[in-house]
Amino acid sequence: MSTSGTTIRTPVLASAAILLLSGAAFSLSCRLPDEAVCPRSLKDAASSAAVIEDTVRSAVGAYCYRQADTFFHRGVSELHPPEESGIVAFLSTEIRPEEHQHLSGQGIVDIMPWLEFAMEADPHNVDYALVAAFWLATDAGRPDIAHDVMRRARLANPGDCRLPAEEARIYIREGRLHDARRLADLALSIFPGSTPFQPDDAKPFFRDVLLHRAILAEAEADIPTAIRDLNAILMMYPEMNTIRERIVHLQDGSEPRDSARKVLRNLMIQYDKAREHHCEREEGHDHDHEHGDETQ
Amino acid sequence: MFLKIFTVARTLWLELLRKKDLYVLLILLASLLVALVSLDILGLGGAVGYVKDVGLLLAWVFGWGLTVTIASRALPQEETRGTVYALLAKPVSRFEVIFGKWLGTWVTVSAALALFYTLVVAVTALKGGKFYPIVLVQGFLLHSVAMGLVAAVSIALSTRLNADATATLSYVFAAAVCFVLPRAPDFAAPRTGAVSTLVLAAYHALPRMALFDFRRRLVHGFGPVSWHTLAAVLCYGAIFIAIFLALAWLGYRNKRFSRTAVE
Repeated sequence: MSTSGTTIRTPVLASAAILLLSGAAFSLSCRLPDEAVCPRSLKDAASSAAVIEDTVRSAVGAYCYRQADTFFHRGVSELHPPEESGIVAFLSTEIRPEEHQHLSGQGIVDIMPWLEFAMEADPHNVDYALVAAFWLATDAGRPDIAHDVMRRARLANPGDCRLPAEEARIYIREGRLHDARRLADLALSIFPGSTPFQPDDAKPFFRDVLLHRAILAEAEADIPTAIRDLNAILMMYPEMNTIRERIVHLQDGSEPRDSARKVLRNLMIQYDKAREHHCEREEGHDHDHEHGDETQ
Repeated sequence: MFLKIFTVARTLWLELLRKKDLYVLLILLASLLVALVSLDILGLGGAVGYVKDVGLLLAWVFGWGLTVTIASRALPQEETRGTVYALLAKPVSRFEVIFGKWLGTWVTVSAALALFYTLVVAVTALKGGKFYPIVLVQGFLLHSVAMGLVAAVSIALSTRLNADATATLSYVFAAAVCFVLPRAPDFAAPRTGAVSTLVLAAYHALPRMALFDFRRRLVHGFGPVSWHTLAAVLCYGAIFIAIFLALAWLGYRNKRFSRTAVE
């Protein structure tokens, strides 16, 4: 009898003790000053831990990005095997193909998991989101997911003007010109923001987004804005005669040779080709590209 | 002779069946693969390359770990338990003991690899992916021979070291041949003299594990290699296995045993 009584009472007593101790701990924690709980040394340690965490995140992100690059090149990594001859070298190249090939079409989705892991690990590296969004919007044919990627990246990096500029291009490809113009506006309003431009990259970037906005404005019959943006480009690049000619056409009200939509289409084709062909490994390889549009 | 070798190998199989190493690795691999498959990557259904890649990488890592664990314990355990005296008192030569232990390890690890590969194929199929069957068979054969080579190295080391030291050195050897050796020519190129010669000699003398790594073909949808190439690589592996087993025999044939020396 007493044994069963003890058996019943023990968990009740234990629960009561835990509740009592929790209450005491909570009460104490409310009364303790912040400095006593987290002295300067601990704060320093916390900031060191944050630095280590950032470093690890950055390293994991870079690794996943390299994996995406390896997958994009069908398993051929950046590190090339040493050049040698002989039976073992022959067998090695037979077992592990080293041809320079790129994924294309729907096959591109194979790089997405690695880019997603890279973005999760290091959300502040905008390059991961830019690459993912580009391939999702083009070869993978999923602009809806590309927009999700861009939104996530913009939330994590609100001061980076490359993100709205890239999203504007995605909208242009979709034919959603009003949304594209809104994003181009945003990109120009925050330029240069926190974007880590290389010394020679900022000016061409600004020119390109201005050009997109000008042609988008023209497509929406907002001629004054188009002329203003084109003039701004001309001030930066006076040698661009095509811009000068277009301004004249817009001022005269005459029909330019190419419509705004056609110009936008050509700009996107040029941009996509530049992105697809921008491969740092191109030197020293036999090219066996598998881009479908190259052969067409 | 073959019956004796088979008997020594069989005792190792029976012992390994009682132990839990293989089951633990199998459950761990299954858990990791299921976790991997359950990830929703951007809502894209067609991406299976990463499952293949990580699955096969885990099969390599677990296979390697299992091989080193089994092979590095096979001989030292006989000595620490004292069963080596009973074993050698029977009409069995030391070469037969060495070869039997290697065969037992290799067959066990190959069976484990077959289970690992089956699991990876099943999980990939669950995600909508597939492997080319011939490429899969070729990859498995090469992987199996690679593990036979690792087992031979571990057994050769274990003839003169205890189990822990053998396992540690086996992992160091593995890391060296996988990550350092392929870069040896780059290291030797700007140098001259003895250092360069030594580095290049090691590069050509040690096995190239990359030859047995078929993951690029399996993951990225390349076709099979010719059977001649496969046979040549299998022969290459067999030669190195023979070399390391011969070294093991040389280290073991005149060894004197003492219970305290290997604990």
